[in-house]
Amino acid sequence: MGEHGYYLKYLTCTFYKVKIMKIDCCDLACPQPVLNTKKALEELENDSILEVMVNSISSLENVKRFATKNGYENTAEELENGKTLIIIVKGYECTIVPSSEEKFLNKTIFVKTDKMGAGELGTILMKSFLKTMLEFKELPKNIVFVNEGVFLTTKKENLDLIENLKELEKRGVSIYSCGLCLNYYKIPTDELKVGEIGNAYDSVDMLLNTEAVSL
Amino acid sequence: MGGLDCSSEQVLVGMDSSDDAAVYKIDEHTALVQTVDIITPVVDDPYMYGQIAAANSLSDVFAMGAKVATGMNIVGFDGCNHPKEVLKEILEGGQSKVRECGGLIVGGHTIETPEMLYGLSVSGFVHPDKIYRNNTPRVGDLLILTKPLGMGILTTAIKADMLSLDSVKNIAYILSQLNYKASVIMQEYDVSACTDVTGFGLFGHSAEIADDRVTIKFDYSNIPIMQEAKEMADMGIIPAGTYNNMSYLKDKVKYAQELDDDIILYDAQTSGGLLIAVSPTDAPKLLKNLKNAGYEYSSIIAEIYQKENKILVV
Repeated sequence: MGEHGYYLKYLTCTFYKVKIMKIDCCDLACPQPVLNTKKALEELENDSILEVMVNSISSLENVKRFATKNGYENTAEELENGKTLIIIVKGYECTIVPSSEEKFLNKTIFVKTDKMGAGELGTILMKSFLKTMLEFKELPKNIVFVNEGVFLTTKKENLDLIENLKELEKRGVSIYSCGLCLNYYKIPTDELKVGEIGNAYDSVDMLLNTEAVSL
Repeated sequence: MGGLDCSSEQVLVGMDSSDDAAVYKIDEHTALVQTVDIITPVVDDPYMYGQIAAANSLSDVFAMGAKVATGMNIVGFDGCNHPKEVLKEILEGGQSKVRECGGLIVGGHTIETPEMLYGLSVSGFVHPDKIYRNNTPRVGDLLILTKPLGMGILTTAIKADMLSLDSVKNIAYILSQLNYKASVIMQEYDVSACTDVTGFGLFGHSAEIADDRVTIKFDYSNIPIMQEAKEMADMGIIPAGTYNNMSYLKDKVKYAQELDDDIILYDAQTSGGLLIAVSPTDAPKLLKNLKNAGYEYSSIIAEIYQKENKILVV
């Protein structure tokens, strides 16, 4: 494993050999650390790691800002003597996942109807409920739409809500619409605007193995 | 400058305040305003550098509402590695700016330094009762800023050669713009306090205006910020001085909203604009006149309130 083992702590990679490049930007004034980082990232092949050593707050902030705004995953680790190691990942196949942090709640939300309670208020409540969920840091693992719930993922009048669901999906929430229910309401599968078509097996699996909340 | 005592009846503004320049009373009609500042090059063109350094040195006199009389050049120059013509151009640039505000360069001093330095020691005059201080705003006054923010970030970006020539030209023009006319214009209106925005950034100098007596509430959307400065900030081209400002000021600031580019509010400015506290009745008139006089970025950016928990709110 050698020094690569060191990364397994917080990196999940789909490849085994991680190329690592190291640059030392200690005692360099702005903008040099950023320029050196930029140059190194340009030279580095994809799916590699760049380690940047810095020893000032401004260099740390600037290099992290540069990496983040340019779409590179990064993390920083404080070392001794006021030094900080910034670890930057180049490539799409590699993401930094902090090992201790659990990102999702082990919950599945079952949406059985397109309204939360009766009438027009029910529609408003459902929309605002799913929108508000976006503001939470920890999200449920799954949202499953069954019965009349599938209107929410397919119908044109629910486009606002579908945008919110897409946002949740982007953040890693799995979204399923019940296939049997789509058939029953004669909704063609290509009208599904977000998530995937779920089956009975998956639904039961989620009911049994996650905490289920029913709407 | 802590620890140095310069108190005397003649010293109207000295080292005990955080004001822009020193003011020494000569008689009841006249006071002498003195200031000195030097900077390293911010652009490659020597004439332009001279203009910018001079505008930066002269600014403190204008912030006090005074008139420039004389300037003395202060130069650090590496004569072994740079031709004398470069120095000549720098000094010509400086002189053009001193002349623009009716002053004279009457002397100076040059020493050999490895890094280029230029600036002026400036003397001016003001009526002792008409000094504009920085910490005397009234509750209800509005704050006008006459130049856009982001110059610390942008001069760093220029050194790193990361900006287009057109951007550099525009930035250099703003840097070289004197606060002279703005100072003359503001004296026609009901202005209670004035300072220039320099090394401590907008928030550092605003904190001096607030002086723990009032709270300044900013309207972020009205604060003029150079678009290129936002882009360069995203690239991580932010000088250490700007981070230092943020770190010493952040306890004084309340954020009423989440801001992406708030670092620019702390950005250390070279040759920044005037920050003027003016009555709400006069503010629109002053703003209009500033714009007509060529300070096109001028904007009403804040209002003075009774003191709250934090002295700066954005």
